[in-house]
Amino acid sequence: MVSPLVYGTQSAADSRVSDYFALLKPRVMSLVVFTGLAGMLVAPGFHDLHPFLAVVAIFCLAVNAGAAGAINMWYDRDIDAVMNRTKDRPLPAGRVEPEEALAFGILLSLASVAIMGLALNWMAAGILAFANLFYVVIYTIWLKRSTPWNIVIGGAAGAFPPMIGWAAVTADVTLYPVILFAIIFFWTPPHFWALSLFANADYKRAGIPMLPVVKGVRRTKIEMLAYTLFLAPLSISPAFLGMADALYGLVAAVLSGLFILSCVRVFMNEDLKHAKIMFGYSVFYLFALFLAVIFT
Amino acid sequence: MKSFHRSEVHRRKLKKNLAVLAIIAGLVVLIWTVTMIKVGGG
Repeated sequence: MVSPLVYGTQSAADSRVSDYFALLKPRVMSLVVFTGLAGMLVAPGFHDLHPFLAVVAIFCLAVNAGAAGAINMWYDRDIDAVMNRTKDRPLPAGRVEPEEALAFGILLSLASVAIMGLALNWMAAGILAFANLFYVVIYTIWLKRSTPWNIVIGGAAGAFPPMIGWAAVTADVTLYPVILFAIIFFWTPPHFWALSLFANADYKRAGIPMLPVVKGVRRTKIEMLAYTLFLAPLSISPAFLGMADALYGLVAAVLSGLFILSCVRVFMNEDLKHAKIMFGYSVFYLFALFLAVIFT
Repeated sequence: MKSFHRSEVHRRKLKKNLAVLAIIAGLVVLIWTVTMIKVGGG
């Protein structure tokens, strides 16, 4: 006899490929792929890399980020179920069994690290594994539910892709990929705090100690402005360090100026629409900045 | 006797099992291709 405990509910048994794809957080994956690709393209020696191996490196980066997302969804399925933004995800909606999501995430994590090591080099594979563990253990399991600074420290996990892309080509890490890492690291808090300003009720209901929930809206806005102001010179710095040309410096300055302006509008206004605008712009900012990194 | 491949469990899990097999086959092809490129000095 088949036990329903083993084989799950009818809805979980009928899970589709699209549910497993949703576990990989495709929107986050697209940002990871893009910034990782930028790291690869600016790395010296990229043109000597076999095109198939370059595709494999991006594939491993995407799969690994997705796998970490799947493990994150497995661990956070209790809080995802009470948040409007996440309650329709495959696990809280009951379309995928938690154990299957965990196995899926672990297997893809191991496979992507192993293939990165075999196809490219073990330096890139090591950073890939570290980024995965950092996101799952440090951010998801430890920081997310315990401190309002969860995004600040945990955000480092999302900053690794350009460094991994660079290491996939060169098998080492120099100042340029560290600056690209720092740009994403300092971009992450204002990006997520903008989201948490208008999703405040959701986070409060789930008991997640996001900064607006714990320290209040005003303190959050001050922190957002501080990070955005610090991000601006950091984003422009590759032009002054001889890593990118003057056109990059100009593009980075304009983009950063608009980011600061967007943050100031959030700071000066109570209306949450400004936080939504800033959140949307922050995604555009990172894409545009890394596009400038690639083309200049 | 009811054979396993006609069971309800098999019917429900068939697509998932085929997807897993396809992924394993894809991994084998990927590793083989990478190996060939590496052997060729790529």
